[in-house]
Parts: sequence; structure tokens; C-alpha cells
Amino acid sequence: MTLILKVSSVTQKFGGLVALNEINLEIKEGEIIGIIGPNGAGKTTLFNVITGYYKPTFGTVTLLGEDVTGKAPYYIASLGFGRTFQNIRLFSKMTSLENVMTARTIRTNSNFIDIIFQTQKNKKEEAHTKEYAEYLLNILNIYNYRYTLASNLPYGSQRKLEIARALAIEPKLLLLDEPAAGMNEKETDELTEITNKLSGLGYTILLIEHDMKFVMNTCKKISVLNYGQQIAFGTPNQIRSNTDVIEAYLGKEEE
Amino acid sequence: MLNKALNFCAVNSRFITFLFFLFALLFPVFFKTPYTLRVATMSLMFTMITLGLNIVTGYMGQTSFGTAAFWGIGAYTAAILTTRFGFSSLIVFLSAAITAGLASLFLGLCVLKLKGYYLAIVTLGFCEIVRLIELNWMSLTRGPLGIMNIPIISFFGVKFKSPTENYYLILILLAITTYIVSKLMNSRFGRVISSIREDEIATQSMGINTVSYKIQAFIIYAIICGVAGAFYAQYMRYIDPTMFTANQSIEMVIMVIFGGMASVPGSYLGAIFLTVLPELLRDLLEYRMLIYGFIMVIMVTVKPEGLLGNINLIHIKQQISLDLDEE
Repeated sequence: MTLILKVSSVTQKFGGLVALNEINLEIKEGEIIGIIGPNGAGKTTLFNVITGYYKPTFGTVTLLGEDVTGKAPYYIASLGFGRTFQNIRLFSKMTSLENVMTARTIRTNSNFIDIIFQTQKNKKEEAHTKEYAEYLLNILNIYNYRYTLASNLPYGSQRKLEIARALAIEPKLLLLDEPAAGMNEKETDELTEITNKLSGLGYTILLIEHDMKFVMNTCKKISVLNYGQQIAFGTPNQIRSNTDVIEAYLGKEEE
Repeated sequence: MLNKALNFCAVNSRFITFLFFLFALLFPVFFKTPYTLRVATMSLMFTMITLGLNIVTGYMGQTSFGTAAFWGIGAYTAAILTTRFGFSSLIVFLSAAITAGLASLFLGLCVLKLKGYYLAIVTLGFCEIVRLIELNWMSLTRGPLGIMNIPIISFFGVKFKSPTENYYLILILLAITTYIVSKLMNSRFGRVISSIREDEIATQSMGINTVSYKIQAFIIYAIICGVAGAFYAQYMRYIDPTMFTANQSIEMVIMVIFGGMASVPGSYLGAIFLTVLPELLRDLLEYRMLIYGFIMVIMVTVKPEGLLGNINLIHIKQQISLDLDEE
């Protein structure tokens, strides 16, 4: 099976603070892997290193065989990453459909001439982009909101729109940063269903989450970070009974 | 009631555009005085410039105080090429477009990694630099003496002698500009430009090279201003550096902010209103800046997106189609 992402000995220091210490991670095609850990463990920092927002102090990030360590975020994303953000970054004044259509941009290539002279190529591309965007909105169950401005969507739907956008480039790897944050039980159940549906469709997923029930019900493998180090890696059952993990989470309610 | 009016506009936008251009076509038939035609011609020229600036400041959200620089570069290119070499207007307009475009490419490569306020200040500086070059490069521009006796516009030997002919020319240029800007902003390119305004980091996360798009938008804006400048030079028959100042740039930003950010009708409203208003207020010349300042304060406090800024006719049309589906 193809190796999609390989994180090797990634260390991230911010001055004297070691945010990540010798992190190793491998993701193969079709897997769903979760990263969990107490707040401040370095989960989002790891995401930011993988997506190119930070250049790690040591270590490498390899995406589909290409070393992308410290390369520009847009370049790495263009290789086939889709990501969502912890604090939602939707295009507020654009509709859901426009949000997803924008995300599809790098899979199209009409140029100025095509656009100004409304060539067949442009018309076909626009129609296809719209169709594909509507298809994605459908998968996420927000097709009804396609003409609604993103800022007017209910919270749960905003999170779903973020995911629909991330899917637009047919990504080799989908990165979800706390997709269930702020969701109630019912919304989380729906999200679990959608995530598993996406996995079934063949997407490779790496996610960060705090919601244990969600993580246990979707991820095949889990990596646990604490103070920048990986303290455990295994299946949900292995993690559940791992003493180091329980210790790190001492005091956290089981959901 | 306002909603009904907006719905009507949204559904019939093509018809309304047709009506406007019909009115514009018939305007010189009813208003023949040279003064009125001059004000009208200037209004249309400023509308063209405002459309260009709206791409960068309205749709893309990057405030630019460099408009007068590109406008001036276009004007000087036209003035120099016609007075020294006698080229016909087609070549001159194209050269003005290319020169302004190259200038913005140069500017963009230097500065478009900057954001927000920093970018705005640098464009202001660029405007001043261009003005100082115009003022001091005596051998090229005749400095403070300006360039006079600029030939009137002639395309393929046909000379545009009368104010009416020039009026129709700028109307055509404006129509072309409007068409191009509308098509671009409602396309794949336009969505990226709008998304850069909304959240550039999210746009980058989609694999889009936002710096490249910013530069492209700047080039289109500069080309539009440059062609308008070439028209201006051959229309006014005389130009000098005092006509292309930072103050002018600021006034054009006010046109965008007042009329409506990211709005084609808004650009028309802002440019025409703020070109005609000073003429109506000629008696109150000393109070002009005061009135402008007053308008700015009111607009920014009450409606920062401009009078027509929040109105997106395409979105309204989509909502209407949804309501119709439900019935």
C-alpha cells in the first residue's frame, strides 16, 4: 500500500520551548489515524509542520515520496492535501457553493482568454466545478445550504462546509483539525457517520480530536502526544488500556 | 419594499444595464453643451478607473493608493509617444496598457508579500515615487513644464475632434472594461480574488498561490488605469505631474468605498456621484475636502462596504430561484 505521509524525527523548537520532540508517523493509503493528547501537547503544531506553516527545527516531512519540509503551504497543499482549521476559516461573504467551488480551483485551468471570451472550455469547466461542488455538499448533507452565505450557516454546518471544501481537490490526505469541536452528541454522531463514509470512499484521513467517543469510533490507529512527545501508538483498544495514556489524561472525563 | 426593488434589479439586471447604456448613448443628444459633455466624459473615465481599483480594493480587499501612478504612467506614455513620434492612438493605448502593466508587475514582485496597512503605505510611496520621476526626468517628461499640444485621438486616421466623439469613445472603453471586470469577477479567477479578501490562509490551504493571483489582479487594475490615462492625456491635450498625485489616488479609493466595494454598479455610483458633486459644489470649493471628509466618516461608520457594497445581485437571484423551487 502506498505510503502517503511520512514524518521523520520532527522536532520543533520555539526558542527554548520544545513543542515537538522527535515525532515519527507514517500514514498509508486508506487509513484513518487520530492524534490525541492533552491541550498543549503539540497536536496543532504537528499539523502546522506537516502543512508547511512551520519549518521544523529538525526532521523531515515526506508527502508521496517528495520531501516537503518547510516548503510553502500552498505548494504542499497543491500536492494533494485538504485541511480544515481548528477555528473555522470559511469565506463568510461567499455562499457554501462558492466556498467549495473556490477550493476546486487548482483542478481547473481556464485562463483569462477563456473567461473573457466565454469559450466552451470555460463553460464546461464551470459546469463541472459546480456539479462536483454540489456532489460534495450532498455527501456532507448540506446541499440545502448551497446558496446560503457561509456566515449564516449554523455552527455544525459550518464545520461540515469546511470538510466539503477540503475534499474539493480530491486530496490524497485529508487533515481534520478538531472537526467535532463544539458539537453536541447528535452532531458528533452524524460526523462519525460522515467520517466513516469518507473512509469508505477511499480517503486517507489524519485527524486531531479531543472527543474520545468520536476518535474511538472512527480511527483505526491512534497516536497520543504529551508535552511534544509521542507516548503511545496503537489501535483504540490498545490506547484505551495504556497506562501512560491514562496517566496523561488523569482527571479527564470518559465520554 | 427595498427587497422587492433589489429582487427586480437582480432578475432584470441585463435589462437595467441596457437601459443605462441606452441613456448614456442618447445623453449627448439632449445635453449638448461642451461643459456638460466634459463632466460626463470625466465621470465615465473615472468609472473605468474605479472599476479597476475595485478589483484590488473591493473584491480582493487590498487597499491601494497607487491608482494615480498607473493613471499617470498611462497618460505620460501616451503624451510622449504622440508628441515625439506621432503614433496613432491604437498603438499609444496599447503601449500605455503595457507600460502600466509592467510597472505594476515590478511593484507587485517587490511588495505583494506585504499585507494590509503595509501594502497600502507602500502603494502610497509608489505613487509619490512615480510623481517625482515625472517631475524630475526633464529630458523625458519636461518635468514641471508638462507636455502640451498632445494630439487628439485618432484611430486609423479618423480624428476624434468633437467632445461628443470623445464621449462616445470613453463610453465604449467603459463598456469593454465593465464587461471584462464582470466576467472576471464571476469566474474561477474572481472566486479566488474574493477568497483572498475573506481568508488568505484558507485560500492557500487549497493549494492556491495567492501571491501570484494578487500580482495578476494588480496588473489588470494597472492596465485599466493606464488605458484611462492614455485617453485622459489625449483628451486634455496637456498633462503635468500635478495632475497625478497621491490626493487623486485617495479620492479614487473614496469612490470605491462610497459607491460600494466589490460592486460593479457601486463603482458607477461612486465615480459618477463623486465626479459630478464637486462640479455642483463649485461655489463651495474651499469646503470640498471638508465635505469629502464628512462623507468618508459617515460611510465608514454607518456603511463601511459602501452604498451598494453588500448587494450581490447574483446571490439574490440564487435565493429567488430557491424560493421558486419551493413553491
